[in-house]
Amino acid sequence: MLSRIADNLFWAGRYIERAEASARLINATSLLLFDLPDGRDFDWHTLVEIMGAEAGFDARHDVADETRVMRYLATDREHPGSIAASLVAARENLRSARDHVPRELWEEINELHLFMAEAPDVARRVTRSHVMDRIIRTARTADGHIDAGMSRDAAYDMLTLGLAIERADMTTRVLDVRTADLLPSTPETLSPYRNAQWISVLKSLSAFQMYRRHVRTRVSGPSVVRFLLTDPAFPGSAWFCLRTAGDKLARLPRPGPVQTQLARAQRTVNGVDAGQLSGERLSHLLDRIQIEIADLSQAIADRYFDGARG
Amino acid sequence: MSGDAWRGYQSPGFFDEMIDELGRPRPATAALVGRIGALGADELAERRAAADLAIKSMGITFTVYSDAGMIDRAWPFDILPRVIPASEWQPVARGLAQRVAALNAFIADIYAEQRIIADGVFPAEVLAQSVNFRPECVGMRPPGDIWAHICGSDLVRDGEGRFYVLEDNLRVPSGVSYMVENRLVSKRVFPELFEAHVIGPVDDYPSELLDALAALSPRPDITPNVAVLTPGVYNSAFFEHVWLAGQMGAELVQGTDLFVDDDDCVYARTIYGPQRIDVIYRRVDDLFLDPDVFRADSMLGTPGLMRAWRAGNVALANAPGAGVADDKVVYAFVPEFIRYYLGEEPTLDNVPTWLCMKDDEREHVLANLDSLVVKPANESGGYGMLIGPRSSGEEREHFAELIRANPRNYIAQPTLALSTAPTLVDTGFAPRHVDLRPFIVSRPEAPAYVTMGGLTRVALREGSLVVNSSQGGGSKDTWIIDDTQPNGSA
Repeated sequence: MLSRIADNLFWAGRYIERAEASARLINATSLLLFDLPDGRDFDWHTLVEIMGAEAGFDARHDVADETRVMRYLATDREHPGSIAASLVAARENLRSARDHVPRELWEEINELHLFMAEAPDVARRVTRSHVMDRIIRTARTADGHIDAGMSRDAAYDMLTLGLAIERADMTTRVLDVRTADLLPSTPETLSPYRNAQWISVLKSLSAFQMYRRHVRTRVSGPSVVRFLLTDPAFPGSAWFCLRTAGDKLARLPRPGPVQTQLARAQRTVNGVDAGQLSGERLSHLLDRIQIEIADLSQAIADRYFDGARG
Repeated sequence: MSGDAWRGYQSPGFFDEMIDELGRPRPATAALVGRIGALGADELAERRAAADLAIKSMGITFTVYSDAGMIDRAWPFDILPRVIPASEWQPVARGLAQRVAALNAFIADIYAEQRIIADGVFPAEVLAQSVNFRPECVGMRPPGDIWAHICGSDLVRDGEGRFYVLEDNLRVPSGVSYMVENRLVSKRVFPELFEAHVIGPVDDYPSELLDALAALSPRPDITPNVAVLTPGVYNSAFFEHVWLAGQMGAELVQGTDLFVDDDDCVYARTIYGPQRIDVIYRRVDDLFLDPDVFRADSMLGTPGLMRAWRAGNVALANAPGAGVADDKVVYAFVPEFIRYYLGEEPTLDNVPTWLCMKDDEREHVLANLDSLVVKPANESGGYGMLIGPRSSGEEREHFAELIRANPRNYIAQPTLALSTAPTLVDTGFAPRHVDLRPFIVSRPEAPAYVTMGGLTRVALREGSLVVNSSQGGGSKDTWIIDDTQPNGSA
């Protein structure tokens, strides 16, 4: 497999997953918003920060209200981290590697790209929910085409490696929604909503049902954090995603240096003791996991994509 | 019943390939005409819809640029096959093989001793002004002295149905993928017609091409690594590049995927490390192949590729510089090449051609611009032409100036009464002008392979002569029907 094609497939995987996870994040936030009493000052800017997009956003907008933030994160093609831009990138990467993936996968992503290029108005909550559902559904359909339609070769491993790494990254970002404290700080009156917020985090990752079945305790902050970071059975948990990444790596040629970096990230995740984490410490930990995932992605690029003469 | 769909069909003034001037089907097409005529308008519309669906679902596309950016368009296809009886095709195929043999001999000679110039058969000044002559290739001896491994020649038929060669494409001719895919579509659309006729198969092309490419490998004792070099996803023929690589099991690479190491060998950058490449079917123009030798600003090529080629460590098909014979002025000399190199008379004719570089011929051209087609020597895709009978006085003035300023760059030909073939339009069948691009694959120490027919392109607009898909052209499946066996056509 050509290094360039490996690069294309890895990033196609990441961008598809990023579009899906961004849609989930937006959905989670919107759902939470519906539960809040009227007139609460919801801090939309924090959502931009979670996506690591504050510099670009602040350069273009003075006010971070629902309309501006939603359009910026979902349909603004000028913003490289938007869902629409992720789909452009996913499509371009798949286009170059088209002969390595099932045609249906290309068609699904292409259609979704065309749909998002028409810039549906995500400032309207009804439209937004419809659009986000469609993105999530398409991404899951893409998963199906990849799983059922691709031979287990290097192309499959690269594409799913990208998916797994992005999913681990985005799980930590969705957790950030909670820890970053989107709510105004008047603790007592809002405590029921804090609980609702944890449920919405689970729901946004389609994790609520599985959490219920496997954790069987009242939904609480520490148990949700523990579940989403370290549950060995839930496919969206950071631990599970990293293990999946490890499986893919083991089949790729000479993965040594990448595995070293992976082990580092895994150790950090395994070291989580959710009960001991205050909001601030958890936030730091999530940041650290995200940095290690970024390092892991870089190690993959160094090993396989730039791999000129090595 | 069978007459209904065909009632009133006529193509006055042109040779129609299916229906003669008296409205009767030609012998080889009689059964086909009857069966298609019996289908009725609704059924035909359904078949057309089925073809459109097949093309969409098979993902047969070509890429066009527009204001809205780059888009993939579904390949335009007319469901009525274009039929050529085998008895008429065989001499054409022989003529093509003869022609390409002479072209290869010419290219080899031009980059070696240039005997043909010394012998006064080919003027040195034509070569001196050739934009496709590559001095960097002088002295090279590719395997078997084959330079143009893949040639796509454009054929037309005139008012009498006689075949002429319009041009030879020796650089990066495209269209062969559509030739094969068209057949798959028509098998879906008209399965019953394939039961009733013996139709020459076209799908062996990728195997023939792979064999020819593999035969060039500098490492003949191992299975060679063959790559298709594409300019990338923005190229209008990218579909075909993907298709060829897939059909041959070759790697599809871009220039940046390759590098030339200190050992002067070409390697692909892969996740397993460098992988040696033996043969490159390049679909990138000469000037973009190697920034060390040609255009330094090329982003499409690989530095050192020419060095590796000259060292004999990689085969390039077509060889760099082969385009020297892909020039409308050189074209005019091909019949002479056949006589000079092969000692034979041409089996296939050129379209009569006036060279503006010759004083007397230029005067004739300038005096008859309103009836001639004027073509620049080195354009393709139908661009930069003057079609005399359809031109304005202003356009003719403009071309007269162009010709006087640079006579070497222009040729002129009579306006041909291009043959027509019945084409399904909204009102039924209507005659539309067609041409034919067969592909000829040449390899050392083996006879040339000529495709069974080729890609038929059709000008879908009424009266139009422009068959290019970028300019409103479509295509048809091309059937070489066996009329040499007593039961060949049921």
